[in-house]
Amino acid sequence: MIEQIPFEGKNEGETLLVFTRRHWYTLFGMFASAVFASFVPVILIAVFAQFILAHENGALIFLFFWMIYLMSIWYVLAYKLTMHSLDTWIVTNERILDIVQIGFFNRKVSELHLESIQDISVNTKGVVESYLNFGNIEIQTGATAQRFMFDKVPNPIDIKDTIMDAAKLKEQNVKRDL
Amino acid sequence: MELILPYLNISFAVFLLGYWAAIGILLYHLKRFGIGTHTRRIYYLVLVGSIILTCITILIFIKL
Repeated sequence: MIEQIPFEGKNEGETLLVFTRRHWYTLFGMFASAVFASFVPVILIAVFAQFILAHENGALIFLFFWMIYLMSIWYVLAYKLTMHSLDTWIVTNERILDIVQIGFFNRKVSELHLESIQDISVNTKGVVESYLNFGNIEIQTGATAQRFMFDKVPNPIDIKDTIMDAAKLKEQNVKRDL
Repeated sequence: MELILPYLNISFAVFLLGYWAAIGILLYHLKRFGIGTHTRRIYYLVLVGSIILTCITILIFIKL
């Protein structure tokens, strides 16, 4: 049983079964690029040292523009982190929620009731995804051709099993109520 | 330097205003739509990181 985190629109008596985001590895490339980009100006110092130091405040001016550059990189990093942490997938004992933040003030919340699940497939592609145990989960619904997609989530097999168990339980409850 | 300093002052002020407006929008999204403790941690990380970077930049600018 996971911690019962409150979320917008949670019904009374609804139990949280899975709460997940994309795997941390999806941020790795961006972090590595940001660290590399932060130190690119060091190359400029090495190449243009004599011009920079020729001016009495040369070093300070250089440092000032480097800080402006670092602030910009920090902003890009913060933006990506924000989008990463706002894209979430929630599985409860009643439904599945796919919450995607597309950009600023642009948010998409899709809901799928467990009764509509027809089949689920897990797709783990490549060495990194297999080694770090993350991948995509595709949920096919009965009524439409629309698919629900959990994008690069950790432990996809466990999540798939949890959804299948919850769907079975829901189906049994519906039959019993009839 | 004396020649470009007034322009630099205004440009830096405009940059800071724009920067904090953009950071404010990010923080708003994290606060408004964030679920769980993870987003709260990201919120404080972004806030503290931005304050530190801004303070260092302002200190360097004052010394120019």
